[in-house]
Amino acid sequence: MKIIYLLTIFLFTYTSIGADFGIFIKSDTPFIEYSTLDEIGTKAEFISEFELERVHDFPIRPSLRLDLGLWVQQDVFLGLMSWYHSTGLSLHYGDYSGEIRSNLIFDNFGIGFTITKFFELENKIKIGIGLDFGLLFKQTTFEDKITIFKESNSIKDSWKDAGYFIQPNIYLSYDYKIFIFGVSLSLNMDFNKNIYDEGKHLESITGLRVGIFVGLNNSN
Amino acid sequence: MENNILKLFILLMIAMYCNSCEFEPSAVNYKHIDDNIEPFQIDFELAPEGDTIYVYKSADLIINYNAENYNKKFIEAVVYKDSSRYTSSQKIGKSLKVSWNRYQKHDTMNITFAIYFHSGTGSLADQLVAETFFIEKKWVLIFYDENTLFDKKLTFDKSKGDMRISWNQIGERDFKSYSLYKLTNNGYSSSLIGQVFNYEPKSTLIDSNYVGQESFYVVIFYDKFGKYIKYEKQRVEKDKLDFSYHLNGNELSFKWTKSKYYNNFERYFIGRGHYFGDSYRVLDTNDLNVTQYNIDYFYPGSKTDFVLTTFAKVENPIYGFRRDTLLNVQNGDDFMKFDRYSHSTNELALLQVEDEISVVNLNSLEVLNTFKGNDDKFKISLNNKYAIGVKNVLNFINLENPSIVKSFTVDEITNGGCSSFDYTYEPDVSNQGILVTRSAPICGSSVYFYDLINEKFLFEHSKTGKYGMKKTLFSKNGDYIFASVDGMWKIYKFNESELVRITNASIQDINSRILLNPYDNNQFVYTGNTGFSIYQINPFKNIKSISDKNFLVQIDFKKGLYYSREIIDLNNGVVIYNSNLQEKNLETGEILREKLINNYKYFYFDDNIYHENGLTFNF
Repeated sequence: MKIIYLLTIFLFTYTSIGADFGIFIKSDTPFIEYSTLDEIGTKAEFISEFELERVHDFPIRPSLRLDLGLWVQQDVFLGLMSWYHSTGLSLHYGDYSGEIRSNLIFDNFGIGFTITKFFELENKIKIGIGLDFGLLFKQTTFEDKITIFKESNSIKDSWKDAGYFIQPNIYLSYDYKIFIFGVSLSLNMDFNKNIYDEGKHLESITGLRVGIFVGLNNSN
Repeated sequence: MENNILKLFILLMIAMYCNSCEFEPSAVNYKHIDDNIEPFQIDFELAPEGDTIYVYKSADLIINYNAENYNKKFIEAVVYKDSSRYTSSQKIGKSLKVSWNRYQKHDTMNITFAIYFHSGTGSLADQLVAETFFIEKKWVLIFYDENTLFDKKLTFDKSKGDMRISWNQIGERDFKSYSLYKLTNNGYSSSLIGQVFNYEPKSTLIDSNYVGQESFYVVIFYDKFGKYIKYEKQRVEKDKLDFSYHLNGNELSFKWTKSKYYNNFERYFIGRGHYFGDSYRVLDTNDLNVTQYNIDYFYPGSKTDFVLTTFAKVENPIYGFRRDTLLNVQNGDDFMKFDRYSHSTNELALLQVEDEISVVNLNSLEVLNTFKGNDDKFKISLNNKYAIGVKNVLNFINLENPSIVKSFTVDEITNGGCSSFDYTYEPDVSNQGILVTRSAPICGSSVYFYDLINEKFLFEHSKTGKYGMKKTLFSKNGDYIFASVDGMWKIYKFNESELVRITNASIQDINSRILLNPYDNNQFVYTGNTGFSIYQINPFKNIKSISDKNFLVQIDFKKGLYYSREIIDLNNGVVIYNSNLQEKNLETGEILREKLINNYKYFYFDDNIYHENGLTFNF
């Protein structure tokens, strides 16, 4: 509530801030190999013998975006943007004696610049074309947990990496007084694929993103 | 302001990154979760019923097991002694020998035998940690030897008219036989009831000759090492005969319940009168089904004892008994029955039924009053105004308005210590007061006279020593007090709140008794260990003396239909018979015929033969 309160204050004070809620659709699944689990200590034969199944396979999950910028020439938005998304892969097997679970979690956080040009179609309905670019911070977490009856054991490790991204956007918006409501379609292109020193291809978050957004424009 | 907006933007980014939007997998993939694990069936060759194994001395325990028929992969068999692993075997069908330090005494030991298998279910645990299933059996070992009675309780069932003796047998191992004996006559004779040669978890043998007398039942257990004995004693359980009466005109009808010892039934008997009184038969039948009897010549108004007895087929025949004293209240009514009967005059009686006491006029048989009380013993003053009852405390009872008006503890009435209310030195009551004695070797013997009118103690005499004061009694009109002082009987008279000795004459009190004539206030009978004498009190005079210590003496006092009788052994002054209010007309001071047989004294009376201790008799 506190964040919403502060956000409300600045929305009505300045013109150049917006929030976006969308879903992220990855483009290249599946992309993880069993050999990956070998490297974190879980035997591949167990996975096949125990009928480990992918109970989560990079599901479509919500992503959040936050923009801060200025309206120039009344229909051009120029400013900063940030973006967060988390998804992953989970393998599981369980029976009366216990369970085994392997998780691979990807957390992605991007921050960069955004520029968008809006064109009014008719009666406050506008179409926008924009481009985002900036740094992409990624964290990959591996976690294995085995439980036999009441006894359990687990291992967990994570790696962090940083790169850059480019994201072209198309917006369809509607102006209502000083507010802007709209939907967006984005193509996120991740240009950093080398998360390991060995240079193995492990993850790319390149994919489509569909969202809705609300913004403030007191330049109208 | 721009800086603030930038800070807010950064804060929002951090919040967005740190919030709970991080992916947390929760979906599951369970397989074989409902697999049924089949029950294990393993044969133990040594698996006695129950949880107990009896081990002779320090013999080894051999556990034979066979796990071949089970479809799981056998791992091992293990024996735990108490909670410690003791021995094990990896062979699927084998024996495990369990032994212990033969020099160490054991009473009991807990043994656990377990067999372990791979589960083979293919479960996660089976694949990763070789999941194991096991079955186990626990025993408590009880070590015994020749000196140990085998610990099996005998149970007795008498509900079916015979005696059924049951016990749980010990383990089948080494069993040879059981024998059940019955010892009677304090173990001087025994009879074999039965034997068991086949092992069964529980054995029952029947003593069809059980008649309720006290017997010892002995079970002897034989195994290949020796024999072990268990015995228990069973006491007499008398038939409970529910005996009821009804009078219609002169016809008196009896009813009772059928004897429950029908397997040993011999006959019923109804006798009339006291054992040592004028008993005679009114019914003697061997028909078990007879449960009632009528007397058509019973005259209302008389007081009579009736005895119902059942007899068994073998020795010590009496095993059912019921005695009731009947007091007819009114023709046509049921008889009054009472638990305790006490009187001190020929006119009044106190009859107790449970916790209610009735005051009854013996002449009219009218219930005068009732009140609450449960005293063990009563005495009524001659003027019928007062009574005392004794049971832990001494209760003073006003009979004109029946109630317990005052209670004394033994300390209150004897000033503390060394005293108790008992039957030997029973208190006495008159219209003047209560006489209480105390006697104890340390405290001496004292007589207390409690003045009921002035509510104070008037009289006390005390002396320590062998011949201390231990007996007192009132004469029957309360005028005289007999007190045994310094080994001599002395007579006092109550005179204007003082007690005055009326004569210098004293009578020796060594094993002697003073018997007051209830119908003559001026007469009493003295019985000592050399004979007896009849005295007149005032003026003091010896009327009659008979000296012969080898005979019993019968003292009768009579008045009309009623008389009082005591039979005294002159050897020791002990009263062996006391009876009141019977319809006889006998002379005072009759010496009875007696005979010594094998040092036991028998005497003849009313054509019957009685034993001196009154325990046996012939009808």
